[in-house]
Order: sequence, then C-alpha cells, then structure tokens
Amino acid sequence: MAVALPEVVEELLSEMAAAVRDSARIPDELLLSLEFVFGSSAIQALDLVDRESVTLISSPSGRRVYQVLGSSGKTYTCLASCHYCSCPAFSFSVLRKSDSLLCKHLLAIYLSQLLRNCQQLHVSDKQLTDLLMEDTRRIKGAAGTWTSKTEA
Amino acid sequence: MSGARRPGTSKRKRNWHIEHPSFREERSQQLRRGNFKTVEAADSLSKAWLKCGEGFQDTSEILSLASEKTGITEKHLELSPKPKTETTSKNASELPNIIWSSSESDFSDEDKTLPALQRDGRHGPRADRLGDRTISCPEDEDIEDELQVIDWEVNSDKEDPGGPSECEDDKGTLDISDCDSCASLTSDDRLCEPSEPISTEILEYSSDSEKEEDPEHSLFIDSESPHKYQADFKSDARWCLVSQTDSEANSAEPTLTPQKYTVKFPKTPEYSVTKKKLLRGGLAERLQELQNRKRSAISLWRHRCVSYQMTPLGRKSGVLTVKILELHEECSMQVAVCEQLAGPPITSPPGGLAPRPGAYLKVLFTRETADHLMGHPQDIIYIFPPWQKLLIPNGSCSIILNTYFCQKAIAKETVREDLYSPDISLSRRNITLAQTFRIKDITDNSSINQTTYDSLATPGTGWTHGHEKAEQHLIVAAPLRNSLLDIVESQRAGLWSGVRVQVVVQRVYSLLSRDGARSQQGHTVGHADASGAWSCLLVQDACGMFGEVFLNSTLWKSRQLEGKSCSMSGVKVLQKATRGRTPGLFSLIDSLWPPVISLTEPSCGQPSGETKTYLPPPIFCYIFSAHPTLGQIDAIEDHISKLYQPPVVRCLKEILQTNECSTRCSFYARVIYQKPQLKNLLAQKEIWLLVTDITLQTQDERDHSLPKTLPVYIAPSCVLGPEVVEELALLVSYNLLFRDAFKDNGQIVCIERTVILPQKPLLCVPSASCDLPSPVTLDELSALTPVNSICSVQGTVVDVDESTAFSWPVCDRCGNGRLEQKPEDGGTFSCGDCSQLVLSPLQERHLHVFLDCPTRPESTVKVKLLESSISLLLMSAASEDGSYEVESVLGKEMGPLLCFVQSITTQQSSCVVTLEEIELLSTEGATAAQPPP
Repeated sequence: MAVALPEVVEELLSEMAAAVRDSARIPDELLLSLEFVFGSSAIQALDLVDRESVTLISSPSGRRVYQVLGSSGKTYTCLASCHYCSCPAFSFSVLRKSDSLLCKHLLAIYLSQLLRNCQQLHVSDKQLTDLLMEDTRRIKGAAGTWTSKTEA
Repeated sequence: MSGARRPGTSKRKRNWHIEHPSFREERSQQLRRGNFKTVEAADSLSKAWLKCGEGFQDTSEILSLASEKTGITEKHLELSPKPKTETTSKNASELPNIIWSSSESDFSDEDKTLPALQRDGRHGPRADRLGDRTISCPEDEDIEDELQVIDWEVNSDKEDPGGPSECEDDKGTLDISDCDSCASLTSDDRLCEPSEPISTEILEYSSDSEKEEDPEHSLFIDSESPHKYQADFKSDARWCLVSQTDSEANSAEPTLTPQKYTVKFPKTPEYSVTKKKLLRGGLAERLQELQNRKRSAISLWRHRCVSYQMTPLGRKSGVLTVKILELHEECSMQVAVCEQLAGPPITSPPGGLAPRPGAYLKVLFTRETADHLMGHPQDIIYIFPPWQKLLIPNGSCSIILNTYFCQKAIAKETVREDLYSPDISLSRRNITLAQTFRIKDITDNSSINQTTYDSLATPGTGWTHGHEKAEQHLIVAAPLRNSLLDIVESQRAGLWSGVRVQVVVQRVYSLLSRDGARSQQGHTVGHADASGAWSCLLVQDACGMFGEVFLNSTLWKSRQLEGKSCSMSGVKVLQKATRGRTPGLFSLIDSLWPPVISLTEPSCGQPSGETKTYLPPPIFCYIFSAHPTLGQIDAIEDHISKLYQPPVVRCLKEILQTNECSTRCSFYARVIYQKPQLKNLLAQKEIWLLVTDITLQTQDERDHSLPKTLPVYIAPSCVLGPEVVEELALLVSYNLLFRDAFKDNGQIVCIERTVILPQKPLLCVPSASCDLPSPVTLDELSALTPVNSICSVQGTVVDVDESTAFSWPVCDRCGNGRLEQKPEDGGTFSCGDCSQLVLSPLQERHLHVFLDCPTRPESTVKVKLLESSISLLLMSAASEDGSYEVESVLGKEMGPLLCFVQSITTQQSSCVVTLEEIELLSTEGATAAQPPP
C-alpha cells in the first residue's frame, strides 16, 4: 500500500510556499506541522535556512548539487535529483534506521527553495566533478566511523 | 491555532476553576537570590503572559504556562516581599488566554526579568496532603546555597502564603512541568519536608533562554548546557527524576520524547556560551517558541488526561472521533487509516472543511504520541484540537496532523493493561529516496519569486518590500542576466518571467507548430508565411546554454537579429528539450559547439580566462515561448556578437567527402531539376531538389567516388519561405543557399530548422556555383546510382512496353489533351479550354522502352521517354498506315538521355531500374552572371 508521508510533506511544503508567496510569512500552524513531521530537524533546518546555509552549485553541463553548511561548520553535499546527503545523520537515521524521512540538510534545501534564499553558485564542470569526487573520498574515508556520529 | 486549543483548555478550565476561586488574591512572591524582582519586572511578566496567553481563549484563569527564567533559592524565601500582587491579579483578570502563536515581539529585553512566581511554604503541606507531586530541586542536597528550584508550577499562583483557604479547596493541584522547561520535579519519594517553605519558579523554556543580557537573575534553560536535570514525565503521573549530564544528547532527540530540563546557573560563565544559538528573529527561533509552548500544553494536557478520564463527547470543541482501521509505521510516524465517526464543528479545525462522518482519514501520530496512545485497530480515538488537516490534491483521503492530544475512547482492554502489555510491532513501510518532493508553488509561480529571491539575496531587504516591488515592476526593473537558467529558475508554470537575459541569436528559422507549441501558446498570430509556421530563434547565453524561442514577430523582422546580442524578456519555458527527444535541435546545437569564445562563468559574470580544452556538448536546452505583448527580444548592439557562429558554408564536394554522420551543413547549390514540378509546391508532401555546384561538376572524370549531382530531400517539416516557393514555382534553374541542412548517411535532407534562401547575386560566392559549366554534366547510370537522383542513360532499345504505349491528340495552341471530337463536324476536335476547333491537333505519345545499358548490364532499364525522344525513335519506324512496328525500333541506340531515377526494384535475381526522361530546368535567368548557352 502506498505511503502517506511523502505526499504529506509535499503538500506541507507546497502550502508553506504558497504562504510565502501570498503573505511572505509562514503561519504558525504550518511551522508546527513541519515540526510534527520532522521533529527536531525542523528547527535545525529552519536555522540553516535562516543562516542562508544552502547553496545550489551548478555547472554548464547541467549538473546540479546542493551544499549545505552545517551547524558544525562542515559542508555536506546533497544531490538534487534524489534524497541523499553526505552527513552522518542521513546515513544513520535515514538510511540505516529509516527513522527519518530527511536529514535536516535535505529539509533545509526544500525550505530554502520555498523561502527563496538558496544561494547560487556556478562552477565549471571540472570543479563540480572535483567536488563530488572529493566528497566521495570523504565518505569512503569516514565509512568506518560513521556510526559513532549521530549529529550532522 | 487558537481555536484549536479549546479542548485542552476546557479541561483545564474545569479543573482550575475549582481550584482557584480566588485567584486574584493569590500572588506569589518572588524570591531571588540576593535580590528581588521589581514591579517593572512583574509588569513584564504580565505583558509576556498577555502575549503568549492568547491561546486559551476559553479559560478564565491564568495558566502559568509561560514564565521566564528565574531562580529562587530557599534561603531567600523570607526575603521576598509581595511586590506583585497587583500584577498578578491583573494577569488573572486580563490574561485569560494562552495560545501558541508566536509573536516576535513577545520577548523584549525587559521580559527577561520576568519574575518567578513564588510558591510559599504552604505548598508543601498541601502537596503532601494531596499526595501530589512536590517539587524540589534535584540539587538541594548538593548545592545548598545555590539551590535552584525550578518549578514549572502551573498553580503556583495559588500558593500564596496569604491565602490559606485556597489550599484547602485545591483538590486538583497539579504541578505540571513543562516538558522542556526548566522545571525540576521531584517524585513522591523525594518529597521535601512539608513544613519547609519551597520556593519555586515558573519557567518556560523558550528561545529567551538564550538571551543572556541578565545573567544574574536568569536561570537559563539550555538543552545543551553541560548540566541537565531531566525529569521524565510518565503518563501515569509519576515523576521520575533523571539526572543527565550528557550535553550532546539532546539535539537529536525527537521533540516530545524524554523531556530534559537544564538549569543554567547564574554566575557560571561557561553556560552562557555553550548553546549554539539560533539566529535571532529567524524562523527557527519562532518555531522554537511555538514548540516550547506546545510542549507545555501537551504535558499539561496529558497529565490531566490521565488523571481525569475525559469524556469529550458532547463537548462543543472540535474533537475528531475516529476508529482506527489500519495502523502502520512510516519512518518514526505512525500512520493510522481511520474512519471518522464524528466530525468537529465546521469552524473548529483551522485548516479546512470539516470531514464528513464516515469519511476515511489518515491520521499521523508521532512516536511519542503513539506510545502514549497505544492505539490498535478498532480502537476509537478522540483527537482533540489543535489538529491540522491536510488536503492532499488527488489524494485518496485527508491527512490529520498535529495529533498531540489524543485519547482512546473505547479501548479493547483497559488503559492500564495496555500500558504494560508489550506493544505489537507495527509493519513499517519504507519510503523511497529515489525521488524528491515537488513543491507545487515553486513550479507554479514565476516572476514574483524570482524578484523576491533577488531581494532576499541582498541582506536587509524586507520580504514584503521585494514582493510588492516585484509585482509592480515585473519587466521593467528586471536586471539583465547572462544566463537562460535565470529564466528557468524564475519560471513557474503559467506565468511569464520578468527576467531579462542577454542572449546571442544564433539562428532564425521557422518551425511548424506540430510539436505542440501552438496549443500551448493558446493564441494564433500571423507568422512568417502562409503555411502557419512559427518564427523561432535559437539563442545562446554567455554561459553557453541554448534556448529555442518561439516568437510572435514575423520571420522577416527576426532575421535582422541573427548574430546580434539581444536582451530577451517576457518569455516562459515551454519545455525542456533533451537530446533524445529533439535530435533535430541538438544536431543544430552541435554544429554550434564548441563556442568560438570562452564562455562566461555565471558566478563571476566575466569570461573565464581559462581556455578549456574540451567542453562537453550540452545535453539539454529549454524551449521558450515569447509573450504576445510582453515578450521582447531586442538587439542590444548593432555589431555582430563574438559568440555568434554563422553557418559554415562549404562546397558540396567537401561536404560529401567528410564522413561525419548526422551533421548539419550549409552550402550554395544550383537546383537543376526538381520533382515534382508543380506550381503549388506547398501542397506537396515531399520535394526532391537535384542540385550541383562547381566542385561536383568540375571534378576529375576519373574520380567516380563523388556524384556530379546530388538529390536533396525537402522534408515536410522544413518550412520553405515564400521567396523560395516563388522561385521553385518558376521552374527555372536557380541558386539556393541551404543553411543547416542535415546530412545523414551521405544523404542531404532539409528538415526542421533548415533554412533555404534564394542566393542573392551580391552574396554569390565566386568559387561556388555561379560559374557552373554549361551544360551541366550528369553521372551515367551505374550500379551506384541511387533512387531519386538524375543520370544520363545510353543504350540499345531491346523492347517496348506495348501495353502502355498510346497516343492522343492535344490542342496545338494550349496543349490541352482533353479534346472533344464532334462527329457532326466531320470528326474534327475542339478544345474546351480554347473554345475553338483544333484544326491540326498534335499527337502526344506515351512510350516506355527497355534499354540495354552497358553501364548497368545486369539490370533491366525501363525508360519513360519524352515526346522529343519518342519522335526521334519513331521517325524511321513509321509504317504507311500510321502504326509502328516494334521490330523497326529494336536495336536502335538511344541517348544519352537525361533521366530521373524513379525506382530501383530488385525482383528475385533481376533488377528493374525505372527511369523517367527529363528536361533539366532552364538556366535562363538563374544567375545574371551566367549567360544562357
């Protein structure tokens, strides 16, 4: 049977986007609903958006990837076409435990889209490739220790 | 939101009303270590309560849910005066309601000095008497002097020493801790001595806890500070005191799970900087305030819910009664498919229509709520406001969120049993990560968002300001961008982008509207030619991105734009084109790749100095449509842009010699024959043009690898301009410029986006087709001769197709073949077209002969002869009676004949080549430079 949560999130985000468009303010109940669905990630993601931590990096070939500056100062890479983030919380809570729908970085990407404060950065294809490769190496390097980290 | 709070508050009201009949007189005294609160501070409290108390609109009493960080120590109890009597009574009378809604102005600086509500010594006995929880500080053994009693004591206001009578009627005294507030609660076994005065403070954990302007009196609650005292709130109303020192554990906790209380001690400097602050005034801070209030309310509600079995039926509030049909988990949420048994009043749910009774709903519960609820299928659940209803478009049923306040109405077992029975593990449904969520509004809205984004990108620009501004100056104020992606990003379906982008017009052509562009545009405007095609521009931005723009202007005007740097605005994205879906477009784009100049890096706005060795060709581009009135594409500069790549005109020999497949090519060529030869070519589905140029005509006789003439197929999708159609109708040989024709497998095809232009004498390339030798030489028929080509044939007549040989008279004046013979006039013919008698009708003949061609010995060559060849052939074969003997024709040499290859069919072992003898187009007037032969 179909799952309900994704469409709930879609609708929630859409309503938030509509609220931003119409009144430039997200009503309290939508914020609380966001918190209802995402728990503590909601506040953390909103704080990331408040701090304009989300950057969309694109290259001439059309590749796009998001980078989110985490609260710890680390940057995490999130794919634009599917739900993936390089943070440990994603590995743990989303991938391994399936406890969370999104990590706070991925949620922040959505929120930054609807709040229109996603930063834009255009880089060359090579730069983007290097970025992705570097990230892959980092993940591989940290693969053995990721379980010890729970905080993204 | 506010309306939704009612049920919980109604319970509160009921209980509290009993408890606090003389609320006004109750005033707690504030005790502070070494100081006391000022009346101003009390005023601040009242204000704060006023702000945050709007939610409990049904309650007539104060709910001390909101308070501020304060600290009280026991040893200062006696020092506290009663400064706040008037304030609190004011509170009681004026601040009946508490809502969760946040208001950014709630907490001014003075709010930080909100006084604690003091609980005096009488509290102890009462608590003891009631068997209720008492509140103590977990550290009171440890830190005598620094004892901080943090009590989120809702009823603290009635523990006024001056009001002993109130203690007696308090049967429902509740010491409710705000789950996340800095309340420290003792369990029953940790009761303080009853006689001892207990000072309490009512605190609320809010984002203000991070405000450090008043460190002396602030008792900070900091979820991440090193010392935490956690009280675990159990639904059976027992308090467990849990001390926790892990400073890291909180951040990842679900919101409603074990509540932690952290006490930030004054005079301890390190606490002031431990917590990572949320950005002031941000959404996160707002949500945190909301969350704190919500948690408080949940704690209170849940406690009451357990202490007093509530019967919400019949209440006016918007209680949703549902029966659980099915239950499963998605992530940490429980999703219950429910049947609604009773609906709330229409006005109650904040977010939508009231569901009909009997309707099916999906109710989401957080893990914490679910743990308390212990719901099972067939259970009937009351869901108290504020729940949220989410209508999913196209969804099967509505979704109910924010179900913090739930209670089982009829449980299969008793509640107590449920509590201790092992929870059945629910099936968990996995959610794919392979797709992203689609935010409708992001794809629904265009220019407004874009400009809002602009204003947001500049720090300090207000949202609303930018918003309004965007609407007012949709197009005019838009800055000139250098990337087509700016249009795409601002593009929301249905609206026209106000973004102006600087582009270079690489090509101008016409397209038939068969790709759906017309239907999407929804309007029809006159276009370049009568065939109903659209003028289109192929544009490229400074970053290299291509776009195809459907215009509303005429092609004639658009042609002036080619090569120019233009500002484009008022366009919207029709579709994203990919290599697979629009190969024709990408074959054209590939001919423009790589760019002749280095591209701009969009981020810096300047051409990058770095010379790229390899640029991957684009894999997608966007197809735009210009708004009928708002769409503007105007040349910025008069000179040709450096980015412009004009079509590389090559000679046919060079084109044929290159082995590239599926490429675009441009060339000048002389059309020497066209088929069909009709006046109205536009009605024709297929047109073949037989072309040649000087390089093909003058090649070495011994080199037979290249043909001397070339068939060019004009596909129906290729839009012919009126001037070309005009030339074609003249049926004379003419020179044409073929731009961006498509060469595939050696065949040249004019497809969509190919432009055929008459070759202007002034533009004539001297070395190309102007000085063709005359007459044009053709290849001899050979084994390699393709269909639809022309060739010269020489051979011996071996047979005559007698079945198709016939003759008929035609008018000698107009050539009309439908003459009427009137027997009454003696068998003379009359021409209907000329309306007169045809005295000497000409004989038209139809004759197919079979030739034996030495150049193609294996094949049967069948030629349909022209009248001139027939006459020549039959000249000596005519018998006396006007008939012809086949035998007299056989063995005669024919040719060379100029023939069009109609078909080549292979039947078993034999090959039949069907030719039609033709006359090449007259070269008269083809070019001024070329004298007729």
